[in-house]
Amino acid sequence: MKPFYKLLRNGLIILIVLFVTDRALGSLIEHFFFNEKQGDSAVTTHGIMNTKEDVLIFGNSRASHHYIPAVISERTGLSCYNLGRDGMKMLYYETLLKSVLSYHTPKIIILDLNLNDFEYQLDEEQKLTAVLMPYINKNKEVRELIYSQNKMEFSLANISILYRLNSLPMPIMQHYMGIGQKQFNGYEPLSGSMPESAKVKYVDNTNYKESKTQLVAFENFVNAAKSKNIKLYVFVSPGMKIHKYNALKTADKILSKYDLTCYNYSELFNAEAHKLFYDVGHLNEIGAQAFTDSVIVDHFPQKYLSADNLILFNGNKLPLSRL
Amino acid sequence: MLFNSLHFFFFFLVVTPAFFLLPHKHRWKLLLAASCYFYMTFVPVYILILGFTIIIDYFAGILIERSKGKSRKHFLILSLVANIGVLAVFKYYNFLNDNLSFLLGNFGYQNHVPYLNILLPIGLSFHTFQAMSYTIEVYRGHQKAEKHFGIYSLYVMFYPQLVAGPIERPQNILHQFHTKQYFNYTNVTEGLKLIAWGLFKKVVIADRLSIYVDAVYNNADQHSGITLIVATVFFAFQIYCDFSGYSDIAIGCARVMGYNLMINFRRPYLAGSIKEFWSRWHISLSTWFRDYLYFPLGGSKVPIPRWYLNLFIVFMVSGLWHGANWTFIIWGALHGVYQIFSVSFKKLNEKNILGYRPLTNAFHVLVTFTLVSFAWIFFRANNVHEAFAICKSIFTLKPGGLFIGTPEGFVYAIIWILFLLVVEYITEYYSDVVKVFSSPNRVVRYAGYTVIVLFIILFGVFNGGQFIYFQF
Repeated sequence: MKPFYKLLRNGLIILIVLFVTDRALGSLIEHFFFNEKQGDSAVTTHGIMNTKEDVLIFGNSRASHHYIPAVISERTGLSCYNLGRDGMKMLYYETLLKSVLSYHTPKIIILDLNLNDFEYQLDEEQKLTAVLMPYINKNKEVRELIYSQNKMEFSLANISILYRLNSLPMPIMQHYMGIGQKQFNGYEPLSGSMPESAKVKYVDNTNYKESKTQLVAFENFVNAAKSKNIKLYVFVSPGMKIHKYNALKTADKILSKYDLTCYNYSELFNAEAHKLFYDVGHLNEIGAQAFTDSVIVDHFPQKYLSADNLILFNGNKLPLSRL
Repeated sequence: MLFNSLHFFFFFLVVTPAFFLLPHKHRWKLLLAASCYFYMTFVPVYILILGFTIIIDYFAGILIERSKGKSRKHFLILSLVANIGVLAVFKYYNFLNDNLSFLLGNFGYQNHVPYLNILLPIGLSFHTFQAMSYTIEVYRGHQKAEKHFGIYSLYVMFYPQLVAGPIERPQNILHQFHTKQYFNYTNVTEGLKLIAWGLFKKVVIADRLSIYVDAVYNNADQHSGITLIVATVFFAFQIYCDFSGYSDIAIGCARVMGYNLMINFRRPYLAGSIKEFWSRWHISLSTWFRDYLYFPLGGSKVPIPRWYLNLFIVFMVSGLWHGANWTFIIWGALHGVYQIFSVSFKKLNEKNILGYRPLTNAFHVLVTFTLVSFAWIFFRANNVHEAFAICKSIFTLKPGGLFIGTPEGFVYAIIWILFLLVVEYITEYYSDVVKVFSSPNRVVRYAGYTVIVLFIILFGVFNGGQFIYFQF
């Protein structure tokens, strides 16, 4: 046989073997992926495929550590799920919300705005594509987003199941077996507190540059919620790291178009604040309980607050401003 | 265009079949055009610099061959000055100016020499050294001057090794461009296997390790001694897989078309001494310095103090070759000192100090790896001040826990390092693991191909990670 045809024949055999292995192994890993018990991907899977709750929380790691669905449910009688995911930004929240709205309409949405949510980041699109890739064939919104971000990635993800699950096998097995990270309806508690010497960190981020993509995503997020008559709350949860330039002004400007306000809890500190924080950016479980309790009491419509199901922090209603 | 990009994948898919479809007399045109395109995907205008040195060296080669007496030397000097001049302007000018400012500042003067706002042309040190080896070899009479301008240009610009080597010698590669290359099944498959293995080392190992290394080294002051040790060891493997992965892909791409490039790495971390390490690491550069700097300085055939000085000079220059930064110079100087100690205590090194030869050998490998890794701190650190701070944190075992980053990323990193070590060990002492892919049993062979490709797809880091050596 001529060497060229030999190469062609053997190349074809290898391609077939690769394709079959990709499908078989890929489907198996995919099965474990969509049935993870916990972990970041389990939260995203819940948002994209299984959401049925009345109250949904969107945001990044600060959302996932700051809002306790159990507290909200017990206070209001509404079911709740925390869809916060570490390292995400507006474009992710928008895609996730649109995915949810394609099959379910919640009553209330809380968006935890991070002070750097609009900041331009070099690899923001790449990171988002990697996170959403496994859902490319599960949801139209995700499909469109990946196609618009990177057509090459889109094609590769369509060809190979394993490519969609790149770098994920280990976390998949870990979260399928329920090892490590523990979440409660998406909420991930943090134990431990900052040392007494901990001080608020002021960041002089003079290079702050807003990303047009993230701004558009924010407006789309608000618009999507409003168009379905969903009660939307935008909060900036507490943190011990304050950026000089941040998303607040721009967010307020956009929200005012929809008669909404951004409630800023980011600078409520006193000498005891360190007890409520796990690190400069995240509340610990005590802080999260106090904060969740506060935002419900301060903002949720009275009709949802029943005296019968009040659970109070340390026996008292304890708004964060008093801590 | 990076070897680990889809852009390159399609480029390769177009260029390689076209190469075999064209008659031999036109192939150089295709390869030259492809190489120009390859280079111009980085910063197009810098091809003019390449063109400048190519023209100078092409004519210098011919004139050296035709001339007699002193004028031969003059033409060689002209060629060297042109090449080193380009390097000096683009790579070292601002560095020298910086140091001049510092020096003058110490005496209360101000430096008014302006800085150049230029980007370093990619792979400049590589193709400049390859070009210089040509005129030197013509001068020495080891190589006939190339009369075909296109072929000479291809010698400097051959895309597989244009931006990060191996730094070829004219005797090895030039005649290959004149020889008709036939489609050879073995060459093609061996080349493809090397490409796959190189890609595996780059995207699965090097780029995975780089996530941890970057996270630690970019905030070195915030990490504990143990974290910095782990990051340094990770960097040792990262740079090896990054650079040797590139070399494997380069050699593989050339091999597919029938061209043989020189081997650049031979399992360097299994070296039992620093001397041996340098005979296994970046071989094309270390032999370049040996042939064109160390031997002309007198090599080892001089009084011992002068010999040591020669060794030190060669490694200092090697450090400077890597980058216009004191970190690289210190890295080179450290290796120079290592070499001097290595040759001074050669007899001690040969003794079976642990009483059991395999154990002694393992001990030597470990000591060599530790010394090499220590030097990598200076290579990787962002500046000298930071490098010394890292050394201090390591030697004082600065307290704090071990930074993990993402747990899966950390576990993957360790798994792939162990995997690499096993492969290297088997290759060193038993047989070439890449030959597993040449097993007579078709099932074993195809399973090998499938596993490596699936590993790349499933565990590769596809963030468009640059090759570290591109910056040189």
